[in-house]
Amino acid sequence: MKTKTGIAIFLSAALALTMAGCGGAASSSTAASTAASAAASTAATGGSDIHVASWNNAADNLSEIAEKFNAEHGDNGKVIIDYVDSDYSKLKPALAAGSGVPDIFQTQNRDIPAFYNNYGLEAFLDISDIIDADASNWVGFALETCKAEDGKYYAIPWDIGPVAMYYRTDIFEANGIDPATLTTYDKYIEAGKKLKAAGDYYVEAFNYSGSTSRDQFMIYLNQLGGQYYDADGKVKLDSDEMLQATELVKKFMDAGVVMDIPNAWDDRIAAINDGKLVSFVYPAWYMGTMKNSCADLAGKWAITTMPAFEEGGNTTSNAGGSILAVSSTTANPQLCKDFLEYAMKSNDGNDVNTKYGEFPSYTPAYDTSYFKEANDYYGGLKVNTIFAEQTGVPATTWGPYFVDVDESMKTAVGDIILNGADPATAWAAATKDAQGKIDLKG
Amino acid sequence: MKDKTKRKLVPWLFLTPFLVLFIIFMAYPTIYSIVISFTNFRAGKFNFVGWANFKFVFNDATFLKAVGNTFILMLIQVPIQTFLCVVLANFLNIARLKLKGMFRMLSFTPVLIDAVSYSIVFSLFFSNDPASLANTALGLFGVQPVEWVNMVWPARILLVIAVTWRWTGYNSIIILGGLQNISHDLYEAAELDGAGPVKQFFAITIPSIKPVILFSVVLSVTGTLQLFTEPNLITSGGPVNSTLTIVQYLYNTGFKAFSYGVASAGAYVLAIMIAILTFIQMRVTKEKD
Repeated sequence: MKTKTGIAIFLSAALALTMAGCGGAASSSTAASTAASAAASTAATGGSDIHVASWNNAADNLSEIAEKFNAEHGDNGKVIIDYVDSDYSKLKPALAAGSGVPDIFQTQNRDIPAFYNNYGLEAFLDISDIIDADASNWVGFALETCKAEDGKYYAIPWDIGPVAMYYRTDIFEANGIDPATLTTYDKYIEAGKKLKAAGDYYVEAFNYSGSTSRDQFMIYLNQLGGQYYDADGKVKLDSDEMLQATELVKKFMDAGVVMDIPNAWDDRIAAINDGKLVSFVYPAWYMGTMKNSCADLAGKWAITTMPAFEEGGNTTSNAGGSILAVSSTTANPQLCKDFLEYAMKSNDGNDVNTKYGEFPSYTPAYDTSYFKEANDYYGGLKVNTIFAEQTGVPATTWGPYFVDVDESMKTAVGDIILNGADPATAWAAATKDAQGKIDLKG
Repeated sequence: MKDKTKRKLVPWLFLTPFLVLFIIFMAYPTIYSIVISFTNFRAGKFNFVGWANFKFVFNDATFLKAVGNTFILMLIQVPIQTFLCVVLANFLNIARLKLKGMFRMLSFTPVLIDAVSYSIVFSLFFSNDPASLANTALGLFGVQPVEWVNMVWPARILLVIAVTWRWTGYNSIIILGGLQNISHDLYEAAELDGAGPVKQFFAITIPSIKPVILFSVVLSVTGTLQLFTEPNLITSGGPVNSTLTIVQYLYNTGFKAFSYGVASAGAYVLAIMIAILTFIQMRVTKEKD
């Protein structure tokens, strides 16, 4: 008996030790994975450093801002950028456990309501004071997404995804197509047929199976003013707008002017570089990707207003964008707020955002000289100004768990495009599926 | 007394490093996920919901489809692979075979390659592109290019090819071990009695290696039931969930959709299925012995 107690004590002691070891290891490895901090070298540091979790191009962007910020405000701790994956695979367990959460972290704007719901508002820091000061300066729908149920802000809008039409000037010109005349999708499709006849050219790229992208549905739905929920907040994917969007997708496909991109992100880049994809309707944040991944085509692309569903119809839409949220576990709330103000509201910060193609949602940024500069990649066009005119779309309600809606959409999209399912039936099935999953979460 | 205690304690001391890791990373999560499977997660807290997650899983079309897909893949892949394994193992066992060591090593190599790397290579070989390696090869025989990841059966066949490529060699080596345990006297005696090579194969070789074959089948069945990397990277579970496997469903539900409860419930359903299948296979093995 005594032996057993002894063993138990010994084991629990060992367990406690190992746990402590884990904690120590975790924090030191975060410190090791820092990027931007090295450059800034202010000697005096009053408060503790903060960690910001972000991914890819966006993280490069924040690193550059952090470097400037640290150089100017290094007396109350430093800002350190951690590179993470965009699936939140490290962030979610940390939030669930309530420890090891980065002080500030990026999410897609459509995901932040789900984060609020899952982890509770007490997991986040109220940063209303830095937003309320000049709330009217933000793009409306971007700010709306960050607002929690209690009317406070626990996240700050970062970039948005106003949509426009990207096109190859040389190929359009060679085939006698004037982009200014492509005012409706019907005309756009006709131009696509003409291009298709002239060569292996496509004017749209969709992921037919729906498993790697549903972007076109989201763009069209928003353009039509559609929502994912009905007035009672129940999922409604078989709305008139969604059916109209689906009809357009089918029209594109029937005309043979769209190409399949099975692995949406990589295949779109490949299709552009291969010279097959010569135009597409897509958000502003793609500019940064094109500049980096399709550098050889600089000067051959331009941007203009997207086509409308009917003559004189709406030509604005938004797809994507991200936010930065602050954890309530941060040891240095003041530094978090100071950094966010600098990164999202100062001209210095927004110049960097603009440079990296993260289209700012803070409208005073649209008046800076850097924002208005001509962009050589797009043949000297003032592209940002074009996109800035496209930001007036109505706010999309993402609901408490958009990820469930999105999962159900995947199946519906593939069913409709690949299996030829009846759109109304497929969207109704997706509606039921998504609502079931949401109901289960209570 | 003291000596006795010591003698009892020492083995435990040696086991401690393993036990501590096992308890923290295996036993605790396994038991805790039973608890989670009866809860939902909201506002940072787990709330008890009774059997709701299990009810949901059994009524969820996607889960049922994932179970169906997994069994389809298993029923096609395991027999093909086992057949190939027996053939390959017998080839490797030929007494006159030159460069034996090299052939054995080569057949074992695929397992040593990282699952992610080989999945990416396979997805490039079998892309929808008419110019992809697989489509070019088919073109030589006059076959039209196949949209591998856009069609149900090509996507499934692609996964079967990938998994078979990776695991056939490994299982062959297991079966080869069985072959080498067969006493040579049996073959000599059979030859004297006038049995040809075919007769020898079916009357001596197959019965002798039956337990090893069954062992390899058990491994493969359990492996296919837990398939994740290949469908996730090569087909993304598509087209329209037709290659979505059970583990992929669990991953999507737990780590993408935040439904820890549903994912845990599904994991236990999978665990029970594996337990039942393993039990059946063990019974079959015993009877034959």
